[in-house]
Amino acid sequence: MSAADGDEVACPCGQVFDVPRSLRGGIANCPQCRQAVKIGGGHDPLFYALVGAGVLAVLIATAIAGWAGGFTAAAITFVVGAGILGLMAVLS
Amino acid sequence: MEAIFKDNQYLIRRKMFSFPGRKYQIFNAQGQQVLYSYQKAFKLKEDIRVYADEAMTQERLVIQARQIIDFSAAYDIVDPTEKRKVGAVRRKGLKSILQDTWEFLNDDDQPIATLTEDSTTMALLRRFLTNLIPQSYHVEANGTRLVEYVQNFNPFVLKLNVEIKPEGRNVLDPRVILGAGILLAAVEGRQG
Repeated sequence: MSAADGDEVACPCGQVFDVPRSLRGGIANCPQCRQAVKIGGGHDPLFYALVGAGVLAVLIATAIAGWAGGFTAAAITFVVGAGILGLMAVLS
Repeated sequence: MEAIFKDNQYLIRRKMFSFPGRKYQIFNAQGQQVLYSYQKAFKLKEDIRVYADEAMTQERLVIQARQIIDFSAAYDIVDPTEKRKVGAVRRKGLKSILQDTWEFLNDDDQPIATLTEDSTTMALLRRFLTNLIPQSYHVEANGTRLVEYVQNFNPFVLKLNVEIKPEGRNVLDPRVILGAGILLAAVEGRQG
């Protein structure tokens, strides 16, 4: 498998091996020591799309609150929205 | 492999009133509780731990989702005592809209068997009429039935009977079979 097809993973035993992209965020067994190794690789593209949509929604809600209710309403909306997004990031 | 995984019949029972998380008891054919599982609430990335008992001191299985949000979610199943991944299961997102379909993967991530909900008609009735109709699933490879998961009718307590056929042991790791059963109770139980 070429690096373009997947990811390179380093096992604590010293072995470096390739895994397919489908294993990103998952677990694979090292071909040398047969122990489970965690594979990085971040989140699914859908996750980033939803986070982006969440940030956009908070900004739009803040703008609407600011236009309708002034600075205090905008600040409260922004804090609540950012808090929800922050909580989701911590839980993930 | 530990003796608790050598039975051919199990019962997975989802405990009632287990807020905020979900608790599962796994019994063998003799009715003895052999495993206990706790699924934490408010976790975006599914991480289910299976313990030897309710003291939760000895981990027996770890079931982890690869992604937080994934249309075709895959779950790796690890035996912490051997520190080795024993297999994985992957939900086929598109097919599962109408009829639950999962793939069983070996420890090398290659598909080796398919789990399907009993019938399309019953699956559609469950989705569009009532989710009180108990679910049942079977696992097949090359036309041979390997495992059956049959839910009891009980609107309050989820009980899933797991029967491993003799051929099933030759193809599938029983730890993956039990892990898939817990996932069915956890993930598929939410639809309806």
